[in-house]
Amino acid sequence: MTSRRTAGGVALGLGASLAVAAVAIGTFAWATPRAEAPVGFRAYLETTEAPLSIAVTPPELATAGPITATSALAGFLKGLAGIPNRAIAASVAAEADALGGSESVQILRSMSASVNDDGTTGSLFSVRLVSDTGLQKAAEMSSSGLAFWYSPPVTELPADVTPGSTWSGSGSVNGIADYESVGRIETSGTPDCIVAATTMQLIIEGSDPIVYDVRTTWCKGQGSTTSTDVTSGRVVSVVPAPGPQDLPDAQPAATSAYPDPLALPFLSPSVLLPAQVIGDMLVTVNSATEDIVAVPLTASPSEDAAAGDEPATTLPIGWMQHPGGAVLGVVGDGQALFVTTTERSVISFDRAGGLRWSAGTPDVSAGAPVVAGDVVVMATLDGSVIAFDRATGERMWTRTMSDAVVSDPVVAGGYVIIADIAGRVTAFDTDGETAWRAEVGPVTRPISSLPDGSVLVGDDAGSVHRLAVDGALLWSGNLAGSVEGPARVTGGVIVLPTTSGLQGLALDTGVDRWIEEAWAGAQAWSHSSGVAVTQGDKIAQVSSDGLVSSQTSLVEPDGEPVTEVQVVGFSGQASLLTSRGALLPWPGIE
Amino acid sequence: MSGPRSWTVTHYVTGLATNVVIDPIRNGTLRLSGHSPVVAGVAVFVGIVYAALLAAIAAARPLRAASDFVADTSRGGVSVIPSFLVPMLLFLLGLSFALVLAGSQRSHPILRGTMLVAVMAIVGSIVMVVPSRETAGTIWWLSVSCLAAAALYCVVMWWGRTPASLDFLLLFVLLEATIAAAYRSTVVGQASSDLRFDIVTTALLLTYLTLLASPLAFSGGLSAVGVGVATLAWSGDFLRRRGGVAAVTVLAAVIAVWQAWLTWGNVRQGLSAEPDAWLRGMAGALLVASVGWAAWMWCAGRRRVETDGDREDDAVDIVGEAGRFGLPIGYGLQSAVLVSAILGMVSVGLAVLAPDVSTEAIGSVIEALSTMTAATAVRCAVVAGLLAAAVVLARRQRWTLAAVAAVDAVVIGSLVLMSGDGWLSSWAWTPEQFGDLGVVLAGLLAIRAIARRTWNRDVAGLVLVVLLMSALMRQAAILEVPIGLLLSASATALLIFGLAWGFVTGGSSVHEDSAHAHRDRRLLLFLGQSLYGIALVAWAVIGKEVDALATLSEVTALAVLTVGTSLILVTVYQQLSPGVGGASGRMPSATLDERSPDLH
Repeated sequence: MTSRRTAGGVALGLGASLAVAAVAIGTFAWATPRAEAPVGFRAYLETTEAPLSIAVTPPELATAGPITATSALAGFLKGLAGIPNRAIAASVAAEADALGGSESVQILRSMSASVNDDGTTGSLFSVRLVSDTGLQKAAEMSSSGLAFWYSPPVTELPADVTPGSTWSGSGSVNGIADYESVGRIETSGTPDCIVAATTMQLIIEGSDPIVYDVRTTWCKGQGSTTSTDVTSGRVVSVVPAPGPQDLPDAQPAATSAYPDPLALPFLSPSVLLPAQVIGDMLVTVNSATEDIVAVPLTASPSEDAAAGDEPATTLPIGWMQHPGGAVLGVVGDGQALFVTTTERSVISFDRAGGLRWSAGTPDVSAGAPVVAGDVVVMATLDGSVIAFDRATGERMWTRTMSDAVVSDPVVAGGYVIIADIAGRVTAFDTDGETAWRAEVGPVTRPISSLPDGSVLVGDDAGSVHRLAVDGALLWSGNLAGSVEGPARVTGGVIVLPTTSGLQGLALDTGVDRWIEEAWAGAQAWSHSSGVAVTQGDKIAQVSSDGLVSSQTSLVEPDGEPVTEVQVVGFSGQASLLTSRGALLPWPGIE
Repeated sequence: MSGPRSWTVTHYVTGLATNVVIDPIRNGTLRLSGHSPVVAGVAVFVGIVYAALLAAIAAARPLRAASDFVADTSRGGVSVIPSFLVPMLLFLLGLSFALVLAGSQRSHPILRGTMLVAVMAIVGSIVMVVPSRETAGTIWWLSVSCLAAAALYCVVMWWGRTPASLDFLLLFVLLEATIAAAYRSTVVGQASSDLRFDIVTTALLLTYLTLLASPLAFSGGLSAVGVGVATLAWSGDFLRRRGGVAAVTVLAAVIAVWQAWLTWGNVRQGLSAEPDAWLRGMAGALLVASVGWAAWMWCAGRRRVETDGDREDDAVDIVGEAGRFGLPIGYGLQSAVLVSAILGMVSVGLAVLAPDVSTEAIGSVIEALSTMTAATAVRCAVVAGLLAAAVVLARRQRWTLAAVAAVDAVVIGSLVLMSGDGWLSSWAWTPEQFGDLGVVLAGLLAIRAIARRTWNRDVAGLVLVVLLMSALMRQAAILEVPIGLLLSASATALLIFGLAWGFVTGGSSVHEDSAHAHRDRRLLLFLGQSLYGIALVAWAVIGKEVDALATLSEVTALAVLTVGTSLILVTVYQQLSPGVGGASGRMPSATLDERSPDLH
């Protein structure tokens, strides 16, 4: 009886606990956000399964749950400068709110290549709204600087896309003109595709109406595949091409840098992901929208016709790609770009934004990959080291570190150097063979390759170690704080950003030379004239004896103080790229 | 002295496994008998969850590869974690908090009040920090109501007499409902934003939650060192009793050569680089070792036990006795950190609940607790507490425990004195220096025995054990390597092993009633603490939260440096003083545990 009672009690306790746990787990599972499947006309939008293309609908927006127009545009708004762009953003936000606001509107951002009948090309950037009433174009901007925004947005696809469906609409354009549009859905000769034929009249007071006849083919899961725009007799084909865009051949810039500040529309470059120069394209990551954005450096700055107190000049966008997820690291080899994302992918783009290859990885990357010889090597958080063929993306080899890796790999002395959080530093050659190993304290801070092929490793214990090309320990030293960023070398002194200040260490011995405590958290940059450091709106040149000059109060083109800036070099000289998307000439701080 | 008993490798392996692994688990593992059946059922459930978490940690890599990830890019960088991790952690927090709350219901008022405040602060933070209470609506109020009901229940039951099982099940339901509803509120609220509040909130809380697990990490570090000590000391004693003098001598000679080589390298480097500093460090180590020896002899020397010569168990017993101090010392040394963490969460909750109320005072207190002065004061208090414990234990004739407490006080006290910028700091020792001293000691023992022509198996075995302890001093975290290879997580291997070992061997004391708490309550408290620690480590390992892992690993390393060093010293002292000390399996009395916050 007693044993039965005991067993019954145990069973009761176990059962009750399991029951409560099951209910709790079920509640958590119910509460966890899930992606919604596309419905109706949404099926004709791009999905995550569609190949990446220049005209990319951010996959997560196409299939994710509703988002507010204002919050989704928050990043969009961040990078904007100038009246037209702000007006566009405000207009789009207002229209999205009018459509239903926070619970029912999605934003689609896309870029297309336009090819005129005379062979000239351009790019078109569109902002569309997806709601239960269909797909509507809210705004579009061309690479030539022309921009239109519609109130209410122009319907491109109605909710019901059955062939024969029709719709009409009217409204204002840019607040200064009117439009009237009609459309219908037609069958396409291609299975799973439809054609949306729209005619829009642009009515400007005192002028004849401009008629746009647009036929757009939409295919399930791919978005708009072609669009032909016959405008007053000129035929313009808009092609969301998956391949390389027809950009002019690269031309070297006649001068090193633009002498005046330039604004890069739609851009808020991430300082954490340094800009890369690929051919004649300055490629950066738009931190607000996680797009890869390329700006042709050879393009002439265009005058912003609507400038008032806005920037006088802008640089157009060459191309924009959305690799999916958030960008974790980006590196270029001068001809191609390699990007790692939170989607556990490595993706390579060419100079024109065309997709070269993409590959999956078992875990997310620790940061940026590195290029070494013919391979691109990345380390993942779980400690895997994976090498891909630079040209094809074929996985060449995989190695495993002893623990997680959170520091970017570096290339030094011809080897790929990786440090894990257990403090094991390993050098791999391009064939994946281990060249040498060393042990230091736990490493979660950036490691640096020095010009002579040696490696500088700062561990979490506050020590810094310089390892020779063969892995031998050259010297160890103590830091005032922890390593904050990559080190640079000037005049035999290592310039090392730390949490306690900018520290100068003798390259040969590691002995402390100087420390600039006011520059804690700064970033150091190598450029054609030496080493510079940036911190907020401050920039200074650094010599072997410390700071030699400083300039404070870097300002954006609109007069606002700079919050973050990075040094970018092209055509042999340096410029400054701000986090608000302005390209500033190098200040006189030699 | 009897002659060597015959032995084989099998004898050694089975004896080692039995004494170092099986017996500690058998003696220390949780038993269902003696507890109410329902609580026993709860213990089975928690055991299953614990085992599942260990499996998840071991399988972190394939688990991540098979999971969907969610990313948060709102804080400048990018946080990427498996999508199941946030709900998993929240569920485990609810379960562990229900266990500790129910377990502390009849405990000492200070413990009870502290647990109540801490749990309410943490869960309250989860409830309060939602993106939009207006959007969440009824669900959020449900969350608040459940939390209020849980708090009210705990307060009302302060004077009540409900069974532990009922307390746990009710609190489990209420807390899980609170957290699940808060999570749902967060999900609903963040749907209209591109921020992942669930990730952001959890990351914010994790900063504090990790600190609350630091005493467990400390205890885990000691446990891990203890296994190493028990293994080597038992092995040495085994050979000492059963090996032939020639075999033991050869083995001791091999290890002596190895250790002497290392010592010679240290001496050469020390004298060439900074001879003054090195000499002072060696002097500091010698001083600490000498004072520790004096303390050992004073305490343990007062109890002379006539042993049957079977010393193999004494080494393991010493480890078991020393391990009882792990958690109390951990709580003591981390007390300022724990208070800061709780105040931090209270501050977060206040900032959301009553934004007009100034949290400046709380911030000032937290800042004060973060200073070196506060840390030194805490450590001095711990040293004083250990000395007081040694005196009290000595009066109660618990000589071995008193000796362990005294040596712990000496080691930790020496670190306190030698830290900072004072002149004593130049006398700061390192474990390597203790290892060097051990080699010298072994050499002196050998020379004396040879000179007196008293070299025999016993002396050879003693020299062997001293050399093994010297080697262990240099690499106290000896288990880090094999465990790290197994888990592909060498940076946290010791932490994970220590926590798991503490769970499977630390449950012996919860099977008895104490003056304040029934055994059922003590069992629930033990389960709650253990689950909390492993849940956080699972989160950190699977989510690659290196900062959290680094924080806990640092605490584990601190344990290795302090009480780990002390344990190795005590083991050497015990070897040097035959017939002195030796717990011989005697269990500590319940009265000792009253002073231990963990009742364990």
